[in-house]
Amino acid sequence: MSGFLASLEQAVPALRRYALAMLSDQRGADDVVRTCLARALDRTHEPGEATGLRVWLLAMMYRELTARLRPRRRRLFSSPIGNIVSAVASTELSRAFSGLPLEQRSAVFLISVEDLSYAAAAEVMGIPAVTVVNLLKGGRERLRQAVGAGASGAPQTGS
Amino acid sequence: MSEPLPPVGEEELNGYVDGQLPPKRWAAVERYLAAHPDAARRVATDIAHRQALNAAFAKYSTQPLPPELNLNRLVEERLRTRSHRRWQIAAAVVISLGIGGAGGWLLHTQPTLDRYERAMAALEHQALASHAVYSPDRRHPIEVTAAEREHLAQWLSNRLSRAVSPPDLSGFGYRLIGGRLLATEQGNPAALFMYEDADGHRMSLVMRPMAADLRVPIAQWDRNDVNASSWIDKGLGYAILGPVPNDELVRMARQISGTQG
Repeated sequence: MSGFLASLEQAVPALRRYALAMLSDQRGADDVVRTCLARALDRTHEPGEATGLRVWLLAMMYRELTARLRPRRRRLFSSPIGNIVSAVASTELSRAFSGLPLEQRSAVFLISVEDLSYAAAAEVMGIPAVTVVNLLKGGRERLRQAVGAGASGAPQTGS
Repeated sequence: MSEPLPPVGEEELNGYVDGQLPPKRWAAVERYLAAHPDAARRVATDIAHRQALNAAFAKYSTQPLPPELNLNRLVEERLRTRSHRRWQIAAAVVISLGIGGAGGWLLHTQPTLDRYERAMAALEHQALASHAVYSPDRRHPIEVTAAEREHLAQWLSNRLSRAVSPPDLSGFGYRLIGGRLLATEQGNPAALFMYEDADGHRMSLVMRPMAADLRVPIAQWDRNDVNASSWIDKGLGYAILGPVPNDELVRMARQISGTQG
């Protein structure tokens, strides 16, 4: 218990990265982080070992993000997502990453950037580890295609 | 050695990219990649993407946080707006972050959260009970009137074995009407000062001796139509309560905590 707030504080940058990866603007991202931190503070009585805290927080964040994103998901995916690009980095890869469907983006982010194990990422997203690996595969495939296509200036002809 | 290894699957290529491959499969995957240039190219690209994404997000690891994500501030806001569990949070802050360490909140030996809870609960009960019993009493709410302010302070200081005196809250429109001695449930003396505004609304300020190592910053709470702020500092628990708006009460609490010691 005594280290709860200190651990929480250490996790804030990870929460922020996740929110930025998933949302279209920095203000919205920080708002989600704030909501999650407030929620975490309300649960100070819950046992949370230091190792599990980050996954617990990220899972809370994923639920909040999906709750916010789902109602306008169609719109989000069919429109260019320019803001995310500038929020993350203006590279071709970042653009492709920002264009990934929500679940794929989450899986790629949690595993590539936060270096979570497949099991931990599954816990965050509340899905089986097999599904996480499939999302990861799908997401990476899209990244490869998008970046490759951009670099060569022509669609790839496949194998 | 000549045993055929199980064939390498697509999942294992991901495991290789993410460093989540069982060690005994490394050699098999590397051999597979050496024999399959297409797969090797894909894996190399995935690794490069992984590193590039990492780099893209790296700046958010070191960037200073915006003020609205400052945990201390967030905790303070929660304390101001929530009526329950406020002192658990306050105490947790004191314990884990050493908030205001320079200001004296942090101690050499940190009391357990449990002790904070019991101390704040005792303070809260005493304050609510005393306010409920004495503040509605029109004729005898206090034992010594404000006319004998010096005597009141001296008497209560003697009984509590520490210097206590009624703070001046006239800036908030509340004048001192006097004070009285209280008994804690452990049979120790505590003090109550009562204030009244021009409309006859009464506020109580309770001071109750506490263990010297306890410190809790100002926390806000309410019960029914009574708002309250309480804190513990330098061996004395304080609770100020009455039909006063919360923000006003916190300003009073701040003034009192600044003026008392």
